[in-house]
This record gives sequence, structure tokens and C-alpha cells, in this order.
Amino acid sequence: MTPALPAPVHYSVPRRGIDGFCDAWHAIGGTSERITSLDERADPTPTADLVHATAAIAQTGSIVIDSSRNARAASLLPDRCAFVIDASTIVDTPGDVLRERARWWPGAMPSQIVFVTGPSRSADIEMTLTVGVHGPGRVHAIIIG
Amino acid sequence: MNDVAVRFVTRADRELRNDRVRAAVRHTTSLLAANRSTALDGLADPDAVRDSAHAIRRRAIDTLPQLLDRWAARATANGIIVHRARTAADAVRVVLDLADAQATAGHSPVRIAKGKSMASEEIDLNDALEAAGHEVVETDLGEFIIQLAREKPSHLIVPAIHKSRFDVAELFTTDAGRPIEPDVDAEAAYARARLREAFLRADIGITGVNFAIAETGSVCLVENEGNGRMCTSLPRVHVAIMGMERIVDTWAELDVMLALLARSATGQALSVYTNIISGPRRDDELDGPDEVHVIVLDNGREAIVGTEFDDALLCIRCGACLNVCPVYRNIGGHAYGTVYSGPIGAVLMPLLRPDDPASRELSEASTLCGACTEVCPVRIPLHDLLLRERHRDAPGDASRLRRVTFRLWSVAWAHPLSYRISIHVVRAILRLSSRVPKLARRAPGWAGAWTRDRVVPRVRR
Ligand code: SF4
Repeated sequence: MTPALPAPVHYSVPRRGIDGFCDAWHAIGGTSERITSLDERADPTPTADLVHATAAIAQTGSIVIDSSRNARAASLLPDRCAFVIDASTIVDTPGDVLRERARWWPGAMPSQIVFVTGPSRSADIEMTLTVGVHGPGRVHAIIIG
Repeated sequence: MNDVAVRFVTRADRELRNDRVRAAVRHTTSLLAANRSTALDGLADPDAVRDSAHAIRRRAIDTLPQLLDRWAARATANGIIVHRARTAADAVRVVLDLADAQATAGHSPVRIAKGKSMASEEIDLNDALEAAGHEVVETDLGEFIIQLAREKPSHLIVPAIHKSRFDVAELFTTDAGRPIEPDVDAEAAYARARLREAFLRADIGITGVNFAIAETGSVCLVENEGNGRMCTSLPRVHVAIMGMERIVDTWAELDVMLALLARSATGQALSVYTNIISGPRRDDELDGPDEVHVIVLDNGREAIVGTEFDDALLCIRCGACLNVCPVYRNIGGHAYGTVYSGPIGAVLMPLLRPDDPASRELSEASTLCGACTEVCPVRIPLHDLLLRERHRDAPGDASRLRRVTFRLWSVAWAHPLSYRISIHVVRAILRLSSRVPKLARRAPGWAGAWTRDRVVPRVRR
């Protein structure tokens, strides 16, 4: 018995495309730049590891990464981290990734997939926001194309 | 049951006098509740999403054995080692055996880094591991604070909700052996450096599970700090402990659950890190654990399935009901004396521990105002369940006096004349007392607690 698919989730203020992604990503504390090729980078932040994104989600400002393309530690151990996103992989909603699993991972599942939605943060003490508590506190998106 | 009832009331009474804790709990829960309602407004039709989430969770509980089997078969095919634990002791045994295997392999003492997991609190895992000589470090900032204080978490999402930054500075100063300023950034920086070492040296990482996903045999884990990712990525062995009810069928269903979880918990659209783990490191991958174990914990859950109370198993532990509960907001989590507190704790503990009087009495720890039911993302009828539990526990032989009183009341109010007379009597008493306001504020016995701070409304004709 296969149950009916749950209805898609709709949002009050839909965010779409590259601009939508950048709005959401900046709102949660990320930075971004847009270039046509990686060689073009004006400020190649040397201490940041480059992490290659599988997809990005405009609605929530999330970057989807997986362990088949990157070392897990690269987006986790440094103080800052830069993600490389191919503009054609920016989708509108989390559902566009979660409900289209075969589009993004046609073969065997990677051992770990992570939706990264902003810098590492905690509000465990007095609800005061502090970033970079374990993972990177500065996160940068490089959008190609 | 009476002396037990006194125990909860006594604890609650003590916490009520702790102004610092009350202020801290009120501050945080108010912010969380406000964040939640703003975040839900971000959904075009939040109520429809909640209905959908309810249906998803309801179907999961109705088909639990099949769903778990399906998940376990896929997970096993992916290389995950699945353990089923009927009791808390069984689950602890599995972890101890895994730790022993590390010790035998020459890693002694065995170092364990733990992410936030209520299931592990439920089985008192840390005590057992420490008693066996292993080193356990809690790595979520809030849990780390609680571990240093040798306490239990007092909120599902914000375990150290009752601690101020000054309390934290004291604990960290003792731990560091040098002064740590009562400044949140300085405290976070200390925790980062101190726990980084623990991650890099850990032999085993232990975490909870937010959702198992049957379709691919995966587990999903959400968190904000990155400590969960460290625990699932750096040590050789990752052990995840999940309550057996925390499962969905498909990724499409996960989409619905994720749209509600972080919004209801902290007001974020998604938590910073939503991890989906589908096995140990693959041969072509650069890093990750060699072994992934998932412990499926029953510990009283299966017995609830199929009873009139099994909506309690729909819970996704978002904490929203705690933040709006007038009882929780005034006494905090520790007064409950159990691992789960607030409305969901009051519902769940009597079901999980039917033989423990201290758990059983918690169905009384509510005003039945229904605020919890109003916010629950998966629409658990929390106050209704509390009422049903009370009904179940009510002694069938109500005292004679009680029966006669209610009988008289119902007869009196069923007739217009006697109803009117009763209203006149009450009005006369109130009129009299309003002439002597001081007296009115000092009603005898327990009624005095009410009249001290309240103005009695006027009764209209
Ligand atoms: S009962 Fe509902 S509101 Fe309370 S923690 Fe569970 S899911 Fe959240």
C-alpha cells in the first residue's frame, strides 16, 4: 500500500531563483558573490575550504551538500567556509530537493546529506545568539553562472 | 496516591519561590513562543500543513511494525547495524558492549562525544557509561552546561533554560581552572575550544534521531551548532538512539515534518544543519564513521500503541507546548521530576511509566487550559489526553460528601427559583466582603492563595 503523497508545502512569501536564495541566505547571516567562473574570484579567501554544493534552496536559504562530493570535515572544522553553487541547481523549496531525490542522487545514497542553513549558531544561554559555536561562524556562497 | 501528589506540589512550590529560575524560564519561553508564531506565518496555510503532519504521524503509528521492518531492512542493506531495545537496560547494554569493543581494540579509556538526545536521557546512559569507566562529554552547549552542573535538562530544546550567563561563567571557570567572563560569546568560545578536543579524540559519537525514513533506511538529525555533525562524522563509530515511534515513510513526508519542526521549536525555517544519514562511510568517500549503529528504543512505547492514548506518540519533541504552558512557565522543567516535562511530559510520563506513582501523578500537572493543544504542530489533543488519564486514574468510589455535594448542586441549578436564591446568597457574601476589603483578601486556608492576589468579580443578577 503506497499512501498518497502529502500536498506540497506553500509559503506566504515565496522566494525563487538566485535573488530569492541570496535574500534568504543573507537574512540568516551568510555572505555571497556571483561570478561566471571560479578563476574569476577577486578575493580567493585562502583559509576557507571550498565545498561543492549539490543544490541550493531559495525559500529557506539552504545549501545542500553531500559526503560523496566533499569531505565532511571541510564544511565543519574551519572557522569559515565557502560553498560553490552552480546557479542552475538553485531550486525554490526544500520539497524540490526532498521530493525529487532521484534527480539529485540517481545512484546509491551518499552516507551523509546536509542542508546547511546559515552559520553554526546557538542560543542556549539566555537566548542570546552566538555564531560559530562548533561549526563555521562565517559562511560564504559563491554562485557560478 | 495522596502522599505522591504532595511530592509534585511540594517541588512545584519550591520552584515557584525561585525567582531567578522563573524569570529565566519566562524570558526564554516567551521569546520562543513569539518566534514560533512569526515563523508559522511564513507558511501560506499553516493549519493545512499541520493537518497533513498529523495524518503522516498518525499513519506511522497505525502501521508502526511494518514501517519499522521496512526501514530496518533498507538500513541494514545500507550497512547500518540495527539494534532493537525493549527496555532501557537493553539499550544501555548495547552501548556498553560497543564501548567494550573499542576498549578491547586498545582505545582505553573509551572516549565518547555525545550530541543532544532525549532518548539517552530517558535511559540514564551517561551514568552507566561513566560507571563502566568510560569518558562521556556532552557537546551541545546547553547539555554541556547541564553536565558540568550535574543536572538534568529542564526543556526539550533549551536544556539549560534555567541557567543565566552568570551561572554558566561560574561553571566554566571551575572547569577551565581560569576565569571565564559572564559574556555569552566568551562562554561559547570556551566551549568551542574545549569540546573541539573532545571531538577529535572521540572513539564513539552518540546522537539522537529526529526521524527515521523508511523509504531509504535513513535517519534524519537536526541541530544548530554543528556538534551533532561532529559526533556523526569524526569518531570511528556513530551510535544513534531513536524512540521507536520517530519514523516517517517517505522523503515527501519528511518535507512536511521539516516545514514544521524548526518553525515550532525555535522559529527558524530550518535548523542550521539538517543531516540525513544513510549508512557508514562509503569506500569512495573521504571521511565518515566506519560503523553506524541505530538503537530502536521501546521502553514503554509499544504498550501505548493501539490504546486511546496513542496520539501521544505523534510527538516530534518540538517543545512548543512547554513554551505556552502556564504551569511549565511558572515552575520550569525540574519540578516535574521526570525526563520529559511540560504538557507532553505530563501526558507521556504516566503512559511510559504506568507503575511509577511519581510519573503517574503528572496528569494532574495541568490547568487544562488547552494552550498546548492549540500550538502542537502535529495536533496532539494534549489536554484531552490529560483529562482521559485523570478519568482513568480517578477512584471509582468518590467520597460520599463529594457525591452529595455535586448532586445537590445539580438539583439546585436545575430549577430557576433555587438557582436565583443561590445567586442572591453569593452576591450578599461578596457585598459584605467588599465592605471589608482586607478581610476579603484573607480567605481561610487554600482559598487565601487565590484571594490574596485576585479581585473577585461581581456576580450579575
Ligand atoms: S506534544 Fe506537540 S507541541 Fe509538545 S513537544 Fe510534542 S510535538 Fe511539540
